[in-house]
Amino acid sequence: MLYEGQDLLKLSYKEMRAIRGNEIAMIFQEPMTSLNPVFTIGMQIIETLRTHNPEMTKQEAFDRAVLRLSQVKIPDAEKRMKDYPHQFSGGMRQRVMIAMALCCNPKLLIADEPTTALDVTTQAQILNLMLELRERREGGSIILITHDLAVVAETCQRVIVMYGGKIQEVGNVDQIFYEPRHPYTQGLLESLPSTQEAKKRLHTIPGNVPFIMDLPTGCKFCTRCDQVMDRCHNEEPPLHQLKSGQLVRCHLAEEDSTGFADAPAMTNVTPP
Amino acid sequence: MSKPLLEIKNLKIGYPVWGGILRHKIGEVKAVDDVSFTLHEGETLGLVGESGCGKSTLAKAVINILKATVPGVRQEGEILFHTEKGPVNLLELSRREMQPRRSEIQMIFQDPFSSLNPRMTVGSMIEAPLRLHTAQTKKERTDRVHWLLERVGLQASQASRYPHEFSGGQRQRIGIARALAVNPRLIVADEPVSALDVSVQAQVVNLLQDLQDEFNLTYLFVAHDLSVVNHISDRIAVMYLGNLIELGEANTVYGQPAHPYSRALISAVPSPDPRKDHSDRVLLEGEIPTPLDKPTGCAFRTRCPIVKDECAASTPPLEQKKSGQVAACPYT
Repeated sequence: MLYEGQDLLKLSYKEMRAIRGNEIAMIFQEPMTSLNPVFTIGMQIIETLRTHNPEMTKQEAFDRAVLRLSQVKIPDAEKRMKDYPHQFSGGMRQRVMIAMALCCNPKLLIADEPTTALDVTTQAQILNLMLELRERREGGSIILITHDLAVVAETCQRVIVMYGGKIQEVGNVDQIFYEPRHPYTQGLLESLPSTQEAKKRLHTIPGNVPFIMDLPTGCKFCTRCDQVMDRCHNEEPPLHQLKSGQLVRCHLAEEDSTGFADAPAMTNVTPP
Repeated sequence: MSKPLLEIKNLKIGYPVWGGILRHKIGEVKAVDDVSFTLHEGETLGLVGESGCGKSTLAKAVINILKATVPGVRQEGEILFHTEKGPVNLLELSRREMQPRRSEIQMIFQDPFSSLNPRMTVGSMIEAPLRLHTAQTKKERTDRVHWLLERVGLQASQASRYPHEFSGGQRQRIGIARALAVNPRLIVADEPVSALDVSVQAQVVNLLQDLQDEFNLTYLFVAHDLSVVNHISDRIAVMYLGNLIELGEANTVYGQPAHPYSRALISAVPSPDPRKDHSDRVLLEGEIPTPLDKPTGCAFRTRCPIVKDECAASTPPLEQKKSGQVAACPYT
């Protein structure tokens, strides 16, 4: 797993600790359980700052923390430094998490279902905030993990679709939504209510996601695929690379394949 | 328009707030504040709103479990349920009088993991309402349980299994089978698909629609996912901080929302179309006030993009709009 050329899996605890929070930061799905309930949020942000910038004084760290909180639009930021997580609403807690994650100017932000636990109007505010912050941080990247395809369509440039522990399709957002090549991606898009005529039966993917211990041999999706062939049960498809740059782990893509891709980093998929 | 099944008239529900050294009632949260609407036989009414709007409280009031679960709750107004013998106000019924009504009004819950008893087999959970409400023999009940399991897409042989052996979607189907067991006329579905993956949501939504057609069911469908609500509902009702602020045909409310809050809510819904233009999205300022701190006059005035001085004076009533729905705002 290469970050800026370094294999993260081979780093020592100390080396990884220097990167975690500082260069690679994460925001989690449930802000209530990922913020420490017994410390004020001020203390939690300051802790992150001073761990990675040991030369920073307490006052400098305090000021920087207040700045970050106001950047995520927390009103009365200075006063609220003394508040505990339970004194914030869900949307506010998520903003605090974002402030904490961004306080060390990470190059990579991983956001795991950042808005799933939030109301729709709050979600719109948080996504808008994340996009604004991305624009201001030149060179900062975000990996957004979500099951909500609509959120992906609105915020992402490139999309990786996973199933059964494997990458099944990669493409830029237009390709994934307008020309999906993997039957699983196609099935997901077709089963969304907003793409269908209201009140008609929704298209479904039959069956259930198999238990992790019970994944099929061959293609992981073969037990639910409406375009399955005999070969799929025995032979797991490689990740084919198409001329458009899309990657598809499906035998049906074989005829358009221009080669195999081991990892998304080796593709020519460019954002639109 | 078919016959009314449930009429909610000026419903007010207050949750007590306890405090002080002796834990007496020091205040009240107006969870539902003067709400009225009618549910017709065979229709699906989608009830939407965000945190603190009162939709779950309203759902629980309809199945009449608040007195038993919230000590000190205050319920005013009427919930008229139309039986063969005429309309009956559920809020005035004693526990014994309510019992036979319970076979007519059933509920499907949000969390497929906590709404099933982990220590009971699936079969016995579905059988329980039959034992309570019917005089069927054991054989008749067993046959019915098997029939129900198959009807919701599971297998009769799974009746002896425990909930933890099923996936979320399957557990939701079990909940549906249980609700269907005694042939209810009204099913209150409280966020029945929110906890499910997209592909499983579609299966359960289809099932609910099929069952509605087959058994002439009426649904009160409480949800926050507007695209699912728009798909399944005939009409949509929007709530904010305890008030009903918009009600109309689903297409109209979703496509041409009249109330400023509905407009913000519907424009906030992300759409799975990367080419869609969102520049006209209404982004609200601030957070939803807590129901403890409900603004006087129009509850939405603290965040409304078109607020005027008059909005603080009194709560606006629902007005008929040209596009067909009613909405509680005189300025749109």
